[in-house]
Amino acid sequence: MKETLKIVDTTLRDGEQCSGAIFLPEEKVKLALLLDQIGVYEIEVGIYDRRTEGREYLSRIMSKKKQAKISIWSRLNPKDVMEACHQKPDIVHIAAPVSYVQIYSKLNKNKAWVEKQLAECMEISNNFHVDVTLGFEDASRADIGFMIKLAVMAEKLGVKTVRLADTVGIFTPVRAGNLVAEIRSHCGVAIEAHEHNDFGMAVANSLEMANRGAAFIDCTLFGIGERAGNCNMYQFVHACESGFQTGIEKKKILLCMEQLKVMLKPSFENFV
Amino acid sequence: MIRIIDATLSRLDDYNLTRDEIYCFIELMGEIGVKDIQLSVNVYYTMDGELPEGFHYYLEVDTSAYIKGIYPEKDENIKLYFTPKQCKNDKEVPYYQINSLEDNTRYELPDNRKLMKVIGLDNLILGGCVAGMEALKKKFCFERLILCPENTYHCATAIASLFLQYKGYAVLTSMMGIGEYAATEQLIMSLHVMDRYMVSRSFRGFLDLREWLENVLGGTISPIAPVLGRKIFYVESGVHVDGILKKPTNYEPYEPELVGLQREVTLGKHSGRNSIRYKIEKLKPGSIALERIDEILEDVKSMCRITGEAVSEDDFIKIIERYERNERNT
Repeated sequence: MKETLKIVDTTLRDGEQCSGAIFLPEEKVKLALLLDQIGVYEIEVGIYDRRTEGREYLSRIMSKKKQAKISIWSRLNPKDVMEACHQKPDIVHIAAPVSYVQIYSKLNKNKAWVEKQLAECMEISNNFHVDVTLGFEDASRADIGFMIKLAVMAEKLGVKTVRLADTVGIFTPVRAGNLVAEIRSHCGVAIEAHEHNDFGMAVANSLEMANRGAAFIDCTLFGIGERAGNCNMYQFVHACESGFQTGIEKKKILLCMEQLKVMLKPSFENFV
Repeated sequence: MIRIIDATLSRLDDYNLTRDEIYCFIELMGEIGVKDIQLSVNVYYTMDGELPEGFHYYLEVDTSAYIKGIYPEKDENIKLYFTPKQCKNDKEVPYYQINSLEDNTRYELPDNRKLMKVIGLDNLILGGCVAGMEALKKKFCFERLILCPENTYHCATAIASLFLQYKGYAVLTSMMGIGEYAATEQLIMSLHVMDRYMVSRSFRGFLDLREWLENVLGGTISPIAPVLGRKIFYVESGVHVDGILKKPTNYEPYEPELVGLQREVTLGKHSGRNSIRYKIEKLKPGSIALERIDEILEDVKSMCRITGEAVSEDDFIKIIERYERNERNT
């Protein structure tokens, strides 16, 4: 029997970070419900930001969806996590910077700050009884020792899944797979693969991460996303089907892609 | 030694390339450091054998041309001939289409110093990279293998990269993976960033190669195509704009200028205060609208909510000018 892989769709979050892709709330609801229908395990529907798109679309998705887990993305910031929890999604995804370039150079903080923020954020989400997936932002450039330490700590705080985000898209399959194996050898958290396609390796990297023990694979329709995009859902399901079952039929992904095509505006005409 | 043989020209026989187009392409490949070029017999004859100097040429001879002998058998410009499953002399390298390693076929040559070319193996790493490479190792000697992985499962570039890490003799790729191959530009940039391959070289030539491809193929390359896409360094998200403006390496795998592209901050519903400030300073330096950033940001977001599209620079200038007028009137 083939192993099961859970597909996490992030078209409505990371896909929308593709410059020029802007989805209206009603479009988000429509696409999310389609993704729910075809059997996607989790749908990341956006970044909680009241000023940007309000909160109604999330409650509409939550009330109408049949089976998918609905998640929203939050920074590693207690206030943001609190706001995200208030929206009552199934999952709040908290993105924690783990590379030195992100922690020191971008945020001007340090590793102790990351750990402290994580503890605070987890206390809030635990109080709300909301499941958390923890994202290791920029994992492909981070110190493995720090990631293991953080994963062990996160597990103790109640995190069940850690997302390894290849934020700048520089992983090759072997390096990506080794990271999964290394973290799994130190703690029991499930691993979620989040790949970017800067060197055209998002599908291969995700597949290798699955082969080395990742249980969740992040994808987007048409592979849209920041810069050169993310792991293309149709291509990934096609590539993995000899070894894994995702519960998603490829032809049904095409239906979602048709819907997305309608949502992308004329500037994307030759885009897909 | 890393050897990348670009096969783009040999995959474009249906496009009736002109001499000038072929010449231009080869020169552009030289600019990005690719000196090994595979030609088809058709391309060779279009050039009448007059090929730009400074390159190694490999001629792909199909079965029909090989049997009939319709190819330039003794041209000194041709380093190797890729010939179908057989070789009559030292310059001929037999090629095999192999779709799976699971059968018991053996691919041994009488002379164990000779090279061999394998096309296919698109499923090589589906069950894991190490398992795939070990299986390949059992059947072939990597030091004498030229591998041309195909892209049915969208893993060709990764396979090519892996094969080079395992010290394979050479990989065969094509620009944008034309012909369902690994993509030359993706492989080069991955090696450049991760393994410091051709560390001091500029790859601005990719810009001209993109134009060449668009002219020949008659279309526009996807704006988010890896390395070549026009918009891969456009950024809208507030959090990321902030990070990029502080230090571009926060969110970029390499400098856009390296491949002839530019970083661009666009305005959309995820924009933040820093994006607005950056854009005003770029489009209207010193504008008094800088004092109304929060309100302008709200206008940008609500405009996006209504139109479902990004705010163009023209529209943004109109917004700034409206605020400037209001400021002056008050």
